Amino acid sequence: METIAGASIDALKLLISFDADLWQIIWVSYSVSMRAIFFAAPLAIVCAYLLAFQRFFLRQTIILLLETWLALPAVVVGLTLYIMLSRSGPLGDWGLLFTQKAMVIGQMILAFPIIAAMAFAVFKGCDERIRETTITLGIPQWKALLITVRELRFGILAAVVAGFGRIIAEVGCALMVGGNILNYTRNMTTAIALETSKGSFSGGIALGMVLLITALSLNYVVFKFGSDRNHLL
Amino acid sequence: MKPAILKVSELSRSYNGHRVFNDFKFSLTEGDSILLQGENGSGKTTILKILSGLLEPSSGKFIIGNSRAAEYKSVRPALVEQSIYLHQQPFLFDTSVENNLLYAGKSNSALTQAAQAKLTRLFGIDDLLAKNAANLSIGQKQRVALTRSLIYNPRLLMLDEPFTAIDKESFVSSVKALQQYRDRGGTILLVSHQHDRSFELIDKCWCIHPRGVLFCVSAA
Repeated sequence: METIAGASIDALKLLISFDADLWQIIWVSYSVSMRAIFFAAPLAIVCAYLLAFQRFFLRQTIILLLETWLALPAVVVGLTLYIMLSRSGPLGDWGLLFTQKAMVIGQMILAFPIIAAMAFAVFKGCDERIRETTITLGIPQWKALLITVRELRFGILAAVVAGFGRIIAEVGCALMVGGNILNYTRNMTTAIALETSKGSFSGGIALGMVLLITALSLNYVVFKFGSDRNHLL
Repeated sequence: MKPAILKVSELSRSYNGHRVFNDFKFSLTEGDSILLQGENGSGKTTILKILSGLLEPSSGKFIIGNSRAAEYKSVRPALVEQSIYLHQQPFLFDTSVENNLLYAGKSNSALTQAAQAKLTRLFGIDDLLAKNAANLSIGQKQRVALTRSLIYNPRLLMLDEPFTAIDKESFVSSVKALQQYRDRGGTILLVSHQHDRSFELIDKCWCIHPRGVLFCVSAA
């Protein structure tokens, strides 16, 4: 108990003193995950929209695959990407293994199915008058997509936040394709695993606190956004 | 004699094996103003949605203008292009009333700026233009949605209970605007349970019999 209390106090000191190594790790985490979300979210939302409102060949199969993809473990994505990007792999010439770009690609693959599946559910469950009004007013498909996303922004934001929540907290893929290199690819989760294995709990607890604060902040944003819309607060 | 803009035959629609109507045949002529009557669940809204290109029928043959009879899938883009469907509870986008009026995919058939301004004045919504449409009352929403539909000036206007929340004064303006639209050659297909209020506007009445037969009576 004393160990936990002492480590927690040390963790707070590390955070408050703006320990350079610690904050570099936090920066890597946010930088990589934000880039992954930036690229994955628009693709996933467009994909969800098309699956929800268009009828095309293999649509049902794609929906089934998407839902299966949700259950894909991060380490399996990491392993597949490792094989693809390693020197002897088909994409080895790109020289991406153990770089932040590889981590971004891995996190995009992890975030995509969550955002797409949640956005799909939002689109499928929306008021059918939105869709019918955009059609009857002759609004072009791309503009109808933007209007629909705007109308359903609370649900879509929740999907994006859920995707971000998954990738900022994942460890398997980041460790395998990032390599946990200090000041380059070491992020919060890989650092926590490393610090724990060394028996140095304070750094791990500090990073754990940041992850918890991140989760709390994201949930607050979604809650506040939704509450403002529904005039609950 | 005015030309038929749409002829429909063998029109049927079923939901989950339950037949709503079967083998309907009718035609719409330029300037028609038709009240569609029937019991709840008889398929009035379904007919409006099919003719607006929003709902696929189980079967049906369609002739638009002088073209050949065709299946629904091939005429659907033309149905969407020439008609506007107004919901019983109209949907306005979560933005200003002005922006709602400006969402204009069909802007090629839109009225002039002056005519649009005249319409907004006629419907009494010129002082609502800056307001968010989501915060309007149902009656105000119906007036805005009617204005939006008339601004796009479609050939066919499908109105599903458009006057339920509109006050008497606004109703008079609405009928006046719709009469002007009809006089310009526009065709109106109206579903309304407020028959006494709608008779000023219509010249034909179609009734859907509970056994699924569509027949026509003159409003005069």
